[in-house]
Amino acid sequence: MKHRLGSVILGLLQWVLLSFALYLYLRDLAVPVVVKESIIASGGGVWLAWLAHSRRIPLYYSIPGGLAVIGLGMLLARWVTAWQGGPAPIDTLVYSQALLFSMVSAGFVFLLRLFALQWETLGILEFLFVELAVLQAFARHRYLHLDRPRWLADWAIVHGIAPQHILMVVGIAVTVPAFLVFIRRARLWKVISGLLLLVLVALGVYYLRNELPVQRIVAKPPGANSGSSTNKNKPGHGSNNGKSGRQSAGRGKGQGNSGFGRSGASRRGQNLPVALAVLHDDYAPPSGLYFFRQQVLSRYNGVKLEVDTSGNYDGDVITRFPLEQPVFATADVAPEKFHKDMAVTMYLIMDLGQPLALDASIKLSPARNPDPMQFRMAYNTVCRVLNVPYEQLLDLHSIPPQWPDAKKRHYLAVPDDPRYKSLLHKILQGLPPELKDNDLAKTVEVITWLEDKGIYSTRIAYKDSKDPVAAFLFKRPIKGYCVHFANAAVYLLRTAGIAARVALGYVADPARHARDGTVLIMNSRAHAWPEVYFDGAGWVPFNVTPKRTEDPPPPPVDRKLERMMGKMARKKHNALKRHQPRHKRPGHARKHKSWHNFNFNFKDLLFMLLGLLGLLYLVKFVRLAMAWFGRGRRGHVYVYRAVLDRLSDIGVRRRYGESRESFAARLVDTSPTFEDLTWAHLGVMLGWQRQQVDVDAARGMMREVMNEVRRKVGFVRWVLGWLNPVGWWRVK
Amino acid sequence: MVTTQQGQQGAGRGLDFARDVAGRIRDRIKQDLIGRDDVIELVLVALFSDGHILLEDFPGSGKTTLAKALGNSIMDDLPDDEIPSFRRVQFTPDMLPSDVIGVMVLDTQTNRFYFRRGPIFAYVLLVDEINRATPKVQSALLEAMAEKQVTVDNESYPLNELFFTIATQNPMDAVGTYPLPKAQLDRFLFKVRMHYLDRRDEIEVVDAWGMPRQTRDLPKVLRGEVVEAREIIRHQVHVAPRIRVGLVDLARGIRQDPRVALGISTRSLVQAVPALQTLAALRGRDYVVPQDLEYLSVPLFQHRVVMLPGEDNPEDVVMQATRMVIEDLAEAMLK
Repeated sequence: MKHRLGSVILGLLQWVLLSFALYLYLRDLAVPVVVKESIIASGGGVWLAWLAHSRRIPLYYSIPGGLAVIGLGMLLARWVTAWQGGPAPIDTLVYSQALLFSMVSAGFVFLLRLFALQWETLGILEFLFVELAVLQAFARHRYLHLDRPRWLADWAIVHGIAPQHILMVVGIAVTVPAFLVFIRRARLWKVISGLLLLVLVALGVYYLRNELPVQRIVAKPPGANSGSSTNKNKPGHGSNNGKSGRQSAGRGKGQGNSGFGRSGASRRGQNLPVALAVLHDDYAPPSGLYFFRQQVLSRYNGVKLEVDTSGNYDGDVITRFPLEQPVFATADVAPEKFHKDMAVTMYLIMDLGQPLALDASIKLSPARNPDPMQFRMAYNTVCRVLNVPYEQLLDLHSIPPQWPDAKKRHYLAVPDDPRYKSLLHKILQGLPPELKDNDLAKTVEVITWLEDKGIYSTRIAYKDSKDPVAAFLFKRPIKGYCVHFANAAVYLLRTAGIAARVALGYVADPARHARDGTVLIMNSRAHAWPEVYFDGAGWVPFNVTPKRTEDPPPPPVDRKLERMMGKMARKKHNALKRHQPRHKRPGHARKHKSWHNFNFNFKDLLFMLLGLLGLLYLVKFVRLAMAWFGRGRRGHVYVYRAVLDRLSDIGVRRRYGESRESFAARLVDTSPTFEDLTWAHLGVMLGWQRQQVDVDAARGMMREVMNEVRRKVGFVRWVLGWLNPVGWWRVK
Repeated sequence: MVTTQQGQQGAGRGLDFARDVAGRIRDRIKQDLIGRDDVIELVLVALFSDGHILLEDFPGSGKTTLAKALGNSIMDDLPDDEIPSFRRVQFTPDMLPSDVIGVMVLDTQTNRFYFRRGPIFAYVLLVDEINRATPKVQSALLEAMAEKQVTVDNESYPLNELFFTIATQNPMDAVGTYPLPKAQLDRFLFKVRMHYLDRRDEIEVVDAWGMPRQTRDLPKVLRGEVVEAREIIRHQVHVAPRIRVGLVDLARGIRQDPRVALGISTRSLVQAVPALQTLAALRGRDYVVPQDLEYLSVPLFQHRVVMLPGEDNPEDVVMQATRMVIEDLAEAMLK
């Protein structure tokens, strides 16, 4: 009974640790309400694994069983989502998420436990599962996202403790029990070899993730000129490259994912703060949204719009960070007639390639970074924001007569495709005759048409088309996301003779943010929108929001976090005193040395793996060769070991607890000589020491055994056996 | 009528002699007993390693036949000691120790007491239903088994050095029995559970019953030959140090098992060595291999393990420890 109670307690401990890990993982992935269900389901997984193991259910039932549960969870979740006329959307979401995550968790935990019970080496997997959960939860903290894990960090800050200390304590508090519970009983060498193997696999996965996928967002120091990266853009509206100019922010981890060409699934998972804007004045944008513009695409390169790198155009967009001196917009600055100037201080939380500011910034100047532990950098901006309703622009024309022809061509360039013209004609049919020539009316008409006909969906990408905008726009239904709509609007407007360009950045909904002027900009709200030039009003942003959407609404902004960061940003003096010595230059982020910047690439990994493979083969053949060199009892051992290696290579191994004699007797059909050799080996090892050891006879038998085995197993398996690098490892 | 193969006397005879002796006994037993080769082998191992054997089985499964055949195959080469080669005692609850050991009787002619030997004075003794007699009788017998002598009225009478007991007990009847305590079970080298015959053997037994037996007069063995064979086996079969270490590890493994209340004794390990040697010799080897351990560990140890309440599978405990030891041995032999 004592024994049983102990194993129950151990099982509970394992479950507690695994569910804590699950909780940490699921916090980021799942709707909060299903986390509890998933954890309970994982308890079922632990129990089932124990049952399957103690009842000795064969692995060829239990492993597919576990996988089936995972697959079923995914399928059911999809069915529930696709169920027409089912429960209300929010319930559908909850049900499908609950099904998905609980079944996947149960299946995953079941497999994990099962493997650990079956092979003690794999107990390390559970340990790593728990460890990685803690690490990934805390690693975010390392990248200055205070909210990860916020429940802990908040508490620590409130109590005046440095969060990292708390996190360290929690890390240790999880690591030690995990070690005790999961790999306490394994033998040391098994733990070490398992660990080595996993490190290799993890390195492989890590570098595959960073090297192979199309896009590797280079983490540049803020302020570096990012414009050059757009030159490498390959054509393709929806391609991942399309965003590299705007978003150099990803820090190699995909954090700055904008959803440009990716499907929405990867995007929705990311809800990290990018920057914090502190507005020093009240402002109600006429469009209803704060547009935080970072970059514009205005040059049509024959396939798509891209960043103009000539320097002749888009002079109103500031692309450099104010490192020491203020930076000013150079051209096309909107006159103040319809605008007002607003002071906004930006605090970057992620590294960005280009500065970000509310609407059109006309001046950026360095600001003190109040807390370099939390903010990458800070700068003051003066933003010239539109301060009148759109109706007041009604009489303005788009293209000023004084513009040179080149400039007009630049902002009006569109693909040479008659379909745009005919579509535009169709759209503008409804305009009353007196507005037929009114640029604002045309703009609004185009945008309204897109909003009516379009369906918002991030699950779509137009990657390979020659003219991706056409692929998007002339297909029914019109389905896409902000980038597609913005581009389509710009093409149509340009066709209508209106100067337009695509702006990239982030939006924030004033209604969803704190009233104290603090706006936390989230990367889930990365956005693209059209801007239209009006003579006398400059570039004016418009928003295209399709009325129908296939995507869930963006996750809400965490007001608590927003307020806290706002306070932190405003608490300049105290913070500065603490950090002044190390960060003398205001506005300059501390020098950041990231561990994944060290120079190690996929090729190195490949060589490492090849080296490892070579090493395994080396051991294999050295062990084989030793059979010809040993003398006496040792020689006999070498010979016997070589034979066992060869048998292991083709998958014939002694069972646990089976004596060598019984093993040989079991193989007597395959190789009768192996039994003789085994007895000779046993006689040498266990018999009277005075008897002579005949190694040559043993070698003869070895050759005979190998011949017999080859004849028995067939050529293919024999050759595969020679190629098996780890057969010798598994010899028992 | 009975041909006796006179073995050569003297030293220098090897394991072949021992095997030959065992082979003759085996052949004789097999003539009477069908389909019990595994039990016969264990009985022979016990006989040649100077142990006793406890057969646990249902009535009518050939226990007595086996013991009788064994007794009949051993020929008395000491006619003067008046010890017969085979005796059988049926234990009952009203027995007294003197019924087994013997009793002092007054000789009216000489007016002196003399010792009248009980059935225990035999080379092969079959004790039927050992658990039916009272503990008093049981312990008298068990003392004799351990000491190879009996004491009556302060005088000791030695038994023959070839004193081999086959005891039986019925696992089913619990009423009116006195189960052997573990300490007494420890005196038995093996406890063997006999199983039902398989179908073919059982048909053969039924066919052969009552028919005139075509017995051949197979050669018997002499008592002295058995004793000599024991010596030869003891000295000529090598037990590698690794095996002995393995044996100790096996005992420790059993003791450490969480299901076990009381592990196996050191005496059992001492007894196990000759048993392993004998098995090796019977199988034609002059060294012990792990397989011998694998084969003998359950009959050797399972009856000596005291399990915790609620646990009832000593066989599993022993097998688990054995597998662990065999694993260690196999690993050690490649180094």
